[in-house]
Amino acid sequence: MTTIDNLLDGSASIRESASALIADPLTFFDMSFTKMQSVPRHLLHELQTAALSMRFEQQKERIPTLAKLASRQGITRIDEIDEVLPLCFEHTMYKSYPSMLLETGQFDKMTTWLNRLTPHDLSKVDASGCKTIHSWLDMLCAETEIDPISSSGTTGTMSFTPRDKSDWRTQILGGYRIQLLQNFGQPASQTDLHEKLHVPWPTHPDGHTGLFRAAHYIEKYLAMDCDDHFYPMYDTVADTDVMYLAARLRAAQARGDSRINVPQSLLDRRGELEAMEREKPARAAAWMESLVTELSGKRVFLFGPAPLMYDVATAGLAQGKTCNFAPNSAIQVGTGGKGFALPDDWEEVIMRFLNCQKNNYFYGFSEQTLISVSCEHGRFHLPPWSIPLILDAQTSELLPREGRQTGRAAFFDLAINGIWGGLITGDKVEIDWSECPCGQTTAHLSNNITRFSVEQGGSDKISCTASPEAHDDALDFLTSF
Amino acid sequence: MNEAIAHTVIRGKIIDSDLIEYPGRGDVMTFCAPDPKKFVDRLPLSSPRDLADLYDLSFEDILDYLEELGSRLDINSNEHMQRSRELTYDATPLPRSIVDMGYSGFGSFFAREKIRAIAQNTVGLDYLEGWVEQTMPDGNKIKYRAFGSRGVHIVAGNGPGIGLITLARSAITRSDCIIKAPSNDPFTSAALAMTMCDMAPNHPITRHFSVAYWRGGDTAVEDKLYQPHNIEKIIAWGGFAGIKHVTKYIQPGLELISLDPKTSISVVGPEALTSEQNMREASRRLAIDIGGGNQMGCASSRVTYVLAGSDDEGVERVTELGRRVYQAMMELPADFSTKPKAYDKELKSHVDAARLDDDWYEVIGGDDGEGAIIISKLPRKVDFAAYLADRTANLVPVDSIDDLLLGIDAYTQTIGVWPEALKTELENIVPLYGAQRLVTLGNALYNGPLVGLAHDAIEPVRRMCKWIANEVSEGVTDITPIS
Repeated sequence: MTTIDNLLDGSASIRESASALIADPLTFFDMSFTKMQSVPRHLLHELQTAALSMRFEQQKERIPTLAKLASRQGITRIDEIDEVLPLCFEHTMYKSYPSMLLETGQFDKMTTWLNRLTPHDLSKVDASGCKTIHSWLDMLCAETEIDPISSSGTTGTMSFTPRDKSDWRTQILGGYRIQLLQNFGQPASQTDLHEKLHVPWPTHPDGHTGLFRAAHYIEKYLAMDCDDHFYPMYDTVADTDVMYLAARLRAAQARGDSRINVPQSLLDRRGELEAMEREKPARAAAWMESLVTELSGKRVFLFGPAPLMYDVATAGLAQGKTCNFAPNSAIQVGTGGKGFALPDDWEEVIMRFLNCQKNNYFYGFSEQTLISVSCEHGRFHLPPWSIPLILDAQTSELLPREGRQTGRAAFFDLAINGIWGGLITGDKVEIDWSECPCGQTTAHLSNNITRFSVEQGGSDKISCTASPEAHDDALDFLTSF
Repeated sequence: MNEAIAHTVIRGKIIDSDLIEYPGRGDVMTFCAPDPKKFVDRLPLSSPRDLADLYDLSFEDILDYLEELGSRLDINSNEHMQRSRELTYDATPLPRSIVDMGYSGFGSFFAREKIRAIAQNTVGLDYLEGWVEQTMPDGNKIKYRAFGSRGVHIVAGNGPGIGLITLARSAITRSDCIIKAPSNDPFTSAALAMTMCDMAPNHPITRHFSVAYWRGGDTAVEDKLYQPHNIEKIIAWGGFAGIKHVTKYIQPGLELISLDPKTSISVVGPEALTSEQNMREASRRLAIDIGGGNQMGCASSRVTYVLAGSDDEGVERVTELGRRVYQAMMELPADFSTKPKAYDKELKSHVDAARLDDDWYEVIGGDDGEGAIIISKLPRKVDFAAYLADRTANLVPVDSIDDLLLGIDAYTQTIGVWPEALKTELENIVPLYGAQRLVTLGNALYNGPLVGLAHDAIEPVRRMCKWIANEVSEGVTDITPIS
């Protein structure tokens, strides 16, 4: 198997290396964070360009939506990185199905729709008997290579991203285990790679959103599939349909409408939502106890969205309790950039309860495998399989791939197998292609990453026309009470 | 120095000092306006008694004032308006020719008989001009009169005429008016007020009209101003973001009149597809309601339900109608509808995705950001209907009235209908779901909801008034307590 070492010592060509990188990026970089982040810039550019060209060659006929888009654009090959921009998808591509198909449970047609977004063959799946979104996703996961991510559907429309099982491995093993546990400059130790870690998990242990499904793979790659090292707050799977119901109820409420457009069988489960809310305080209290007592002295890997962790931390501190994890534990608590209303001191409060000094920051999202980890200079370094393309915020023109640039981020994920790697995000980033004092060779992002949608909602323009902003604000407004 | 100044005008006095810079439309432009902290104390009427001077005016005096003002608002001669229009080109997402169209109508906006009709039809001249007596069954007489009030108007900025209609409403109800200008049009209402200062700085109507810009939600201003001793009504246009700030000030003595954000649709009967002539008429009428004013208004049509049946044949015929609507929209005169200045990016990503999903959608046009018609192949509107803008509409083939009722909710304002006879099937059902105004297709923008009577079904002009009763019980001596 060709690795980065072969490329560096001249024993493998760019083409051979690109092929190996695509086949298995983690093995290509020898499971080493240091090797990932030490490829000289000009060589990385050559490697990425070759790998991108190969990826397009490989996927263009296998992903029908990509084939159609490429044909509309008249693009038959990619020789330079910039050429991929017209072929990058936006998030809307993963929710373009008519919602009537979900409302009426036409999962065979949903499968046909999803099949156009992935190179994997879903045509053998017979989903006509599925009664729920959850069972449909379970079936896809059981019978095919894909393990799709659904969004929480807070806008009333759920997205479905058909990433596959190898993509989860790249993200969780590559991102969490390799990038978050290893230190740049040091070789990968056997302990970092194979030690069973204790994993407290602040919510449901499984489900189909990016967060819930990550739990399954975090248990697999961090707790090495050991149930007794995995400590979820709940013992039940997060039900996709109940989440969908909650989102639909919220959206209908904001429209001033009682018509929810979900099957009666699902509407009948409304009680489960209230039961979940009722159960929450007791579950959170028990989980807080296990953090403080059971995990005392243990090496812990804790990934927790701040809105979930904050209440637990304040409850613990109110009782005078703090955690006592082993010093080499890894703590990752963040806001996810979604503009949740949290007190300014959320991080200080949570870290005081966890009794840890260092919070690891990283950036990632569900349409790609990239996990971009902050260095000691506060810069998020991209993994070498992620190619950034930055667009002018106003004109959407590609900005030069050099120096420091600010705009809308697009990335090409060379590693992802289940979907097309090109994606234009809704995130506003500042990126720097010049050298970082930390010594890592990849381009790096500022830690101030915002969503364009949130930013625009803050302006003072008023219109008599009902716009999506007005709807979203209505949702926020209703839930603020 | 930033030349784009949004003046503050308070009761006949123009303020252009202590300028602060504000962000305008996105990152594109900025503008300056006087520091609101410096003038907020001067904004409200110092005493409610000061409304009395408006009662020295007869209704004919009010019409005289407005008529004279209208003649001075001609864009060809009014320098304030010319300057405002020039700045508005940058501040608004509207293309130049559409801005020009808006400003070109100002000269005739205050036509005497039009204003008289608005006063008569919204409130009633009798009630505005004096006490209207009614006799109750027990012989008691009750006299009613509509008095003016002190209001802050948080106006929308997606059309330049909103300051003018606000002035008209305030003048006919003899109300004190403070306009909080929006960042997407901070100039036009100020230009109106400056013209009033030039014309008659000491006239009671001028002295009861103020315009200012401050950032919506600026507590340094709003905590002071939004108090029952200063104002009685807040008339707020537009979305929750703006209204959210305001609700915390609502208390006994301070009322909110909320002109919610709205969206509009069309309904086309099967007759539209039966002959060449009908097809041509329906598509032209639709193009006007969709494309007019670049689809910027709440009355602009965004989704059209076509009662053609949702089977393959129905979809095919609706697609043909869609092609003609697209063509007709492209042929609209440029001062009425033109290629958008910048096509909404979020909308574009939805349209691009739909274009590749040809199992479910057919997208006509849109490659060049000029606008597009999207045909649904299922009897449902697109899930991104809330984003439809910039001359982009969705045509939905449906089998029955029931299918289209799913597209009507509390946000629905205008429904344009063709042919006329179809209205009888709709007029008693659609109001239950939230629709507020039925028009003949092609007339959604005619009059508009402003000059129309009810304005979003809430009669804001009546609500701007304080309705005072004078009960006359002379000769009635029954002292039995009311049980």
